Amino acid sequence: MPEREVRSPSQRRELVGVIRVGVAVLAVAWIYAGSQAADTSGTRGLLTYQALMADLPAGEQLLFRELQEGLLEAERDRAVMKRWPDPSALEADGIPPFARDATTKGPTYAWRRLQNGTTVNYLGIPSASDAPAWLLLIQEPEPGSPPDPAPDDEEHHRLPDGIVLHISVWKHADGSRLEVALAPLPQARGWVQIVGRAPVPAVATP
Amino acid sequence: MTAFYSWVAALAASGILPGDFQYPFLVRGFLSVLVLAPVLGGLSHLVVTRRMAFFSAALGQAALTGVAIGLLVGEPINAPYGGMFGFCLVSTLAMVYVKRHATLPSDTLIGVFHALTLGLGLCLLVALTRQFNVHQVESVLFGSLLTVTDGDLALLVAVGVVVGALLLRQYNALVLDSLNPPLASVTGADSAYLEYLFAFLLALSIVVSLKVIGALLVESLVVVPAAAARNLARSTRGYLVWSIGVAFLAGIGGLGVSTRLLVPTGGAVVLAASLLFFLTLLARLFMPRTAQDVPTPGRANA
Repeated sequence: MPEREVRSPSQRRELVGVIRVGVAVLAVAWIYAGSQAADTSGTRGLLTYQALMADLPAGEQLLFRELQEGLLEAERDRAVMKRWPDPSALEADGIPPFARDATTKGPTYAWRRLQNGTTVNYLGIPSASDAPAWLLLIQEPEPGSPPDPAPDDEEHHRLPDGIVLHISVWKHADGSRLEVALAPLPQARGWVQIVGRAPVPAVATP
Repeated sequence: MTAFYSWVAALAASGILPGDFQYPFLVRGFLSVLVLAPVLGGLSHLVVTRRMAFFSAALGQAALTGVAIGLLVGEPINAPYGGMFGFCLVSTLAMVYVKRHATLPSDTLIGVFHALTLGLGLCLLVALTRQFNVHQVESVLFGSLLTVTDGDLALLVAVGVVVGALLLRQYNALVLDSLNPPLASVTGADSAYLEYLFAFLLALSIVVSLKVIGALLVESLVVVPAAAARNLARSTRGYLVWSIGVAFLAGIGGLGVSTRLLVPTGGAVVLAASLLFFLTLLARLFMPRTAQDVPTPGRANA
């Protein structure tokens, strides 16, 4: 076997090599990050199970809006009575979408309130087989948990007593074929979260 | 990919595949495991032989910090790859360089980097909570198939091919350098180059595994499969094959448990891998002892 001399690179040469590769890596990463930050398309930042409200058909956009309004009324009841109202009570008060507006077309929905501990679902199953099911997921904080510093936004609603609720609106294409069950993690059962706007990058927020 | 998902969903609806495959996220998860198992399993036995388990843990934490940096510079929450790759690869270079030239023990130096990157990551994440819905970052910590996109899958395949090709090309030299660095040098292998190369491949694999396994647990999947394989293997080739097999079984098992019980994928995969490790430990008790059962020397200081 012929003899071969193997020389390890000097520390200085090695350092120069490491710095060169490091600068190249940082340059590529910076170019990629810059191109991503410059992308301002609406769906940017959406997770795989999220969709923009603006991309929904008009009828579904209306229902999404009604759910937001109905939620505010339900939150008001929750703040006063310390429990979530039944859909029948909201319907009796004429609050959409729980109370159907006779002037609107489209499927009717049977609304149910499902609750397990701090997880609350308002589940709307449509009468028509081709209409989507809707879900309002409300996550209350565990009793005794420290105050949530999250800012008030689409997903965080602060009640008058300081409790911060995590809110999300979901739809499922299976509609009337859907099993009536509490959905603590809807995305794992094929639900799509509907958001008013995509998450905003941190640098764009003052 | 939509047509592919529809086809798989139709197979699930007709009963040929399990019902869960009607959801695209689960199909993506299954494909991710198919790619991750050979990559992480293949690296796993070299990580154990080169004693780089703690190094892998530090890389996982560095990736978490990379996510925070990516979000701060304006990358989207579902693909902060610029921050992750940039910070992880630069940290890798720095750790290997310092480890090679400092007089302190390597685990001490890696501990310093580990603490530094974790501290920086936590500070940045807390800063982000004031401006961003930080709950979505949880999937990076613990892993979630629900956040894996088609783009992530494509990146996983691309990195898998690159890592696999480079690993195959340098495999013999890497194994020899892991077991006996002086002998590897005598045969002409450049130990420094191999050390940087392997750390680089490990960093690449860890970054693309984050969405499935999570930053806190990713090092487990580059350690436990090899530990389990070591209990069964009688040769280097067997060691490699068993590592890949254990990683694959852990991935599929964890995926099933995660979907059924709605627990984080990373935790479920690591639990499955750990279960397999203890099963192989039991199996080893009933296997006849051989000459290979004597401990391998490995790298004394890696």
